[in-house]
Amino acid sequence: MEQQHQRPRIYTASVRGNLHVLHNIVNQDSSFFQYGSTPDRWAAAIADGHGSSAHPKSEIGSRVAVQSAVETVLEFLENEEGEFHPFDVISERIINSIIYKWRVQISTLYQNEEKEQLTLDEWKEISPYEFILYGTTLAFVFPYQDVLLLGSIGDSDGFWRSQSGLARSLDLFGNNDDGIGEQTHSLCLPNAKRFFRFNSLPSINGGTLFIATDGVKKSLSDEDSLNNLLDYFHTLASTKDDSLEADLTEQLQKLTKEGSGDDCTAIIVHFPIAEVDNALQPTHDETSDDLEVDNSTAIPSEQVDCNSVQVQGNKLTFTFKKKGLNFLLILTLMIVGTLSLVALWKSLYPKIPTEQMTFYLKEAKLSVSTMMAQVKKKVQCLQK
Amino acid sequence: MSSTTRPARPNLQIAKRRLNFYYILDVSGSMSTNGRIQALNQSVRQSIPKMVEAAQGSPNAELMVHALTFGSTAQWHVHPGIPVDSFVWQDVKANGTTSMGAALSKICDELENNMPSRSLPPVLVLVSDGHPTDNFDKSLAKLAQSPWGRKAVRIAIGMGPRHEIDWGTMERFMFDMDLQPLHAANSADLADYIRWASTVAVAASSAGSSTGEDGSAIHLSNIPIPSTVIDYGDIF
Repeated sequence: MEQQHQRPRIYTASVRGNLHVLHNIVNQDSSFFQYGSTPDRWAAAIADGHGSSAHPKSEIGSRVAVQSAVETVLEFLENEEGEFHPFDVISERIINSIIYKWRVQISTLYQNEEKEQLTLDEWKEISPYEFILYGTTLAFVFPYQDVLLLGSIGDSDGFWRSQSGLARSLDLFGNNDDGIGEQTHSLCLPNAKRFFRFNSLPSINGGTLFIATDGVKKSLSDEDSLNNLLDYFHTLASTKDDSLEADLTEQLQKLTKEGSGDDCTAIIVHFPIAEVDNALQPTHDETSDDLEVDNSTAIPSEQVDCNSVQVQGNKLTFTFKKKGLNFLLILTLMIVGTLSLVALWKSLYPKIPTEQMTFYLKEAKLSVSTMMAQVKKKVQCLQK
Repeated sequence: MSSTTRPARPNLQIAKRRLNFYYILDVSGSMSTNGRIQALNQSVRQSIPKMVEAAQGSPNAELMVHALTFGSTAQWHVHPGIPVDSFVWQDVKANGTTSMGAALSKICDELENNMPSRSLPPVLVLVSDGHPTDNFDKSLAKLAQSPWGRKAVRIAIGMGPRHEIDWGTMERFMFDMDLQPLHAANSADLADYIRWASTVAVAASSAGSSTGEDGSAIHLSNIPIPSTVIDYGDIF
């Protein structure tokens, strides 16, 4: 049985902040995504240029940041040889390459733009600090092996909801602890790598990831609103709504106008439910969650609420995530156990009348039938 | 997709970002001389319309005004904060010693307990004519260590003859602000500076983000300060 890899559907929108409109300042946010040569190769990124007076070219910095991130990731995925631990991939290979690529491109841009206008002394004085002019945050996501990898520097937010909506995370980048004021970590810092945060979401089958610049969360006064926003776009994305991006733009405009006044940018990555071959095709469109969560991720494992179907090569396994039990194994043990008990009983009480023995066997058969019916029901439930 | 299956628009509670503004005013006995306390009351009252204008220029901020006075003790004069457009100044009276340290300690408690996490950096405007009589530095250290205190826009205005003001204290209050304390030698200066501090600080607080690499989120050094007044009012 083959699981069909499906490309996630990716949507993005970015709106100029209400305060930026009033003060005639450009949108300093950027977003970018690109698909690779196969469905499991893609990358998406958003960035938020700082915008304060110390960072006058931050809109360029953010644009270069998202391009650098997506290009770096796709170059890696397309040319990947051998298998590495996902954490090593993102924390070493990807981050270092993104920072390097961003700096090279910013340096080139800066030299082309500014060098002609500066004296040699001015150039020498400014040169080490040129990156500060382009200061920006960056958040990105891409798939690697069986997991989704996320990285972020700065105060962008990441939200996740599973297909059923029961498994959620509203702080994928761990921003809750230091969301104070307007200071944030930046790609322009000399020790930028130190401030990157990573996370992973394993084995997603159905669900929606929402990555946004800080203007979005700052506009919402409570978590319920955030969840409502997430649910709304999950539903639209699930139904392949053509107007999703227009709708996202409209919502972001509302948020910046009535809320933070900041630029608002979001990327929505929707993961359709994986298709399997006809023998296992669900009878209708709905499905249960299939989110495997390890303890290292930001989603607490107790939030995982249902069973999953895992397809590995030709093997199909049903698992209870919470209890960690293999249902088929239990069933087998119970049947073997029942037969053993019957055999033991017969050897201990050889004079049991045949009628009585038949009765016991019928009872055992009934139990097995009941269990089989329960298993069948469970399988149907999982398929749904 | 059929439009009939579209979900209802999400129910979102959208909120402006809170900007807490704190007047920290010296009402010690020395403020009763040369009409200083009257000038202070008048200047704060006159600053309100300008603050309302500044708030209108930042439509995405909800400006809340607080006032803390310090004489023999530090006490809240306006607390909790009042939206600037309904703020009415009640005059304060001068009396007692200069418990500036106690005032900063109260501010620290306030910033620690009553600041929504997604607020804009608070604005602290300190107006004083003299020297603290309690442990100012201990409270200042507490302020410097608190996340919001470090990121606050802090402006100190010394009022009275230059030689009577404890400039060291004023400068320390404005640590990392990239700006020197302001000197109000007369009532016109004071009115100008309080107005300036109330409006510019509000605008600066709601400006864009920064790396924080230099220790300060807000830079006021590029914003012109009102020019020195030649002589328009009483000399303190």
